[in-house]
Amino acid sequence: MAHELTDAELNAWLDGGAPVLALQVEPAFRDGIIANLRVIARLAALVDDFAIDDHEEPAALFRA
Amino acid sequence: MGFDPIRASAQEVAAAVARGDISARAVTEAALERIAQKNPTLCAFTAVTAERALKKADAVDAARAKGETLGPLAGVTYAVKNLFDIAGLVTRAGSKINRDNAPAASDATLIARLDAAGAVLVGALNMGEYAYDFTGENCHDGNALNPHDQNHMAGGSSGGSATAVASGMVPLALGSDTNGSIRVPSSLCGLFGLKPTFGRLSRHATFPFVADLDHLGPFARSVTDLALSYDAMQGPDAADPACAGRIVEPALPSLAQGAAGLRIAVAGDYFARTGMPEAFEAVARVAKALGATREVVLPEAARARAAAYLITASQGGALHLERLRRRLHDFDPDTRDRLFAGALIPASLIVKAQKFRSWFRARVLEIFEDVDVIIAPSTPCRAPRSGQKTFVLDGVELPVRANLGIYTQPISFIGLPVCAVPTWSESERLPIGVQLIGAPWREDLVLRAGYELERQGVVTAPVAE
Repeated sequence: MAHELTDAELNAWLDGGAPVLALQVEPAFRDGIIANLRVIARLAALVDDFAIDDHEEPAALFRA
Repeated sequence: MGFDPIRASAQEVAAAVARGDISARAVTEAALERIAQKNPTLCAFTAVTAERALKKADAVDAARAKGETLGPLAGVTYAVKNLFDIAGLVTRAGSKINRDNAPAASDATLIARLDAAGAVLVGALNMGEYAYDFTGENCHDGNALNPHDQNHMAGGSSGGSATAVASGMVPLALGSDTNGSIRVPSSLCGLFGLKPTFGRLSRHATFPFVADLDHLGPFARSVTDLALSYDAMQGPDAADPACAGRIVEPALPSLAQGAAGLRIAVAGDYFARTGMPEAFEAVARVAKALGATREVVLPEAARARAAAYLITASQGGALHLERLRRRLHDFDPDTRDRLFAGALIPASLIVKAQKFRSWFRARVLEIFEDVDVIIAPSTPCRAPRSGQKTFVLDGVELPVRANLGIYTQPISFIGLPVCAVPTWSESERLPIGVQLIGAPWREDLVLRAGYELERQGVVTAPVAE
């Protein structure tokens, strides 16, 4: 995801992901969701681009 | 001239009640009258618990008449964001959907603790739907307005909390802060706000948003009132798995030490760009007053904000997944689309965001080895106009709702305690806030720095007239 997603890619993300979660994509809501996915993609690229050590522990760690 | 409970601080009210200068009932009746007068316009309260409040006030007065020792907040009126459980009320969390739930059987832990300190709960406060908001706007309950200029937003998501305290309806309110929802409205409404260390205050019996980012804390019109209420709410609570098992570490006794001996620095880089000039002028005024000349850089703060954004969107989407399936049309549209998109974020990105979080935390803790308090803006600008959807930051048009918290998100991302303080310019009627950021569990130090600024008159939180 370390690149700017095109409109087609954003729509494919929505149309591919929503059924997996049993979510209905209502046509009237599509533009608003796509706008949010565009922001998420831009911010996700920032996180994805960062070289993180394999041994770094995720912060939200379960403790028994 | 008699005692004025509307403009008095919580500390002054408690002292006056303890001395017998005014009864808790008179204080409560004055608050209820102020709410009746101001709330129809300002939209701060979604429920007023008048009967409960008067009963509690009478109990405080009866205890005093019997010579009993009163709590530190005896007779002080307060209210809570409507994601706190209040016995007998439905916890709506700013939503239409949750109104179908049964009323809460008992009070949230923090309400029980404030009540035990003698405080008088007068109601539940408006908020952005499910706390996913920085504006204080709500399509179901109306928009909480900024009491200093009603054409402007209060900030959110704890918008009603800020509106209520800034307008003198109550001297004290509780809110939640996942990414900035105490610090943003504090900035926009000119109030003091405390976001404690993650895990310090119990979140038991409050409606969640992001389990590993949710904090609760107070709004007030003085640092002393923040400390007074914070101290009354501290302590372990097994009912909240995230609540640390720390003993009560009171902040009030050390307040008067002010900034003496504190090592204070200004946050540079990310925190010194993007915002409007007023954000940096406020930081400069605070830094000058505290004698802070050193600059520190929190590395990769933009990525920290990005990672907090992803974790929030993803966990929010997961929390509301069933409601998105079944009640899609009952959401606030501004919340719905963000949650829907958040639910679609791949898990692999969230794991990376959580690993980055560990990295960022470690780097920032290194900075705190030789710094006690870091100064940063609370918001990039003063309060936008009510209903304003976008603003221009650094030449880029951005949604207001998601971007008022650009300076608060990287800090709550790693759970650091923050005292938010309000500054004012002579030519402006609207305030803007500054964050005083501390190392984990050092709420005492950020409150001391805030107290010093208040003592110098650099920060102040007047009731809006």
